[in-house]
Amino acid sequence: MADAKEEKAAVSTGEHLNIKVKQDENEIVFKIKKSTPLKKLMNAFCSRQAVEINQMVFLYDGQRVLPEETPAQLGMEDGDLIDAMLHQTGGN
Amino acid sequence: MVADTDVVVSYGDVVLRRRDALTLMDGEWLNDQVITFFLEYLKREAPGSGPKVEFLHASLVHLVACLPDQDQVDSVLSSLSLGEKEVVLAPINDSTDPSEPESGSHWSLLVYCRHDGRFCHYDSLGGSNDERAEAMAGKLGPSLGCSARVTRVKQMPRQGNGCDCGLFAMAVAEGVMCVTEPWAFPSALESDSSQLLARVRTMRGDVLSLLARLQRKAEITTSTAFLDADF
Repeated sequence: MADAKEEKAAVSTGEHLNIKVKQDENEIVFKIKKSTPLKKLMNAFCSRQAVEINQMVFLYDGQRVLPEETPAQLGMEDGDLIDAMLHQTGGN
Repeated sequence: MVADTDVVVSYGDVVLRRRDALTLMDGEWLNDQVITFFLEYLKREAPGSGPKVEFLHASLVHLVACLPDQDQVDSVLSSLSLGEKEVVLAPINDSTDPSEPESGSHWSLLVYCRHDGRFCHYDSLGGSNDERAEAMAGKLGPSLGCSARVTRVKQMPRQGNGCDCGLFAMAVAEGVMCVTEPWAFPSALESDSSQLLARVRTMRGDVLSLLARLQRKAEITTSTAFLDADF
């Protein structure tokens, strides 16, 4: 993933943001361009967690993140957090 | 990585994939995606919907349930302006483990109406999810600007099988959004619950047809395999 590198101590530049993705206890920081679709980050996170992207939902400020949306479109700022949630099921 | 051909319908901010849609087949347990898709559909199409109504997505409810700190909960919910809403619907799941894929076994529906200042809990297994509903009401309270009590709707029909609870939750959400007085839905159920039961019986097929309709509308030619296989 050239555009969504995991980079713990990255310094934010004008064009890039450090975005945290958290699932339960696991938190990973990605450096991503403001104009890059967030699916890059979602894919990178899923491969790090060894789950498929169709097993997860990503939430930013309580709203679901669509794969084609970019940090710029969502008004994300450096250091913002995305929550990743695994799916649930139920029948009885 | 799953290719985008796996996507059945992209509706609002819900991306429904084939594996999600297949949970609508007879006997399957519904997943959070299907329930969230249906709530999103009601948000856009139901007669009772509008800017004063909020449908909380299942994964957001799960996140709120899992967050240990009320400050974090309030922060996650702040963009929804729940304090301005008259009606808030939240699907409740009994899952407690955010690290387990496909966790949980039961869905119910929690409905807050500012009009009578209470939450109604619609649970097709009696009070199986009562504790979760109480906890959720407590966590939503500060954002709603109230500390409302939860009433379990005793008139709620029971499911007669081990797979349809999600459909009951969806049918109640639809019912609440199709009456002019959402807070009076429990009384409506008391006088006649046959309508809800009839709706539950046809709902799997109806939602699959709805998906097919939306799919055709979106002209997603790449996922016709889904249609060929299942219709």
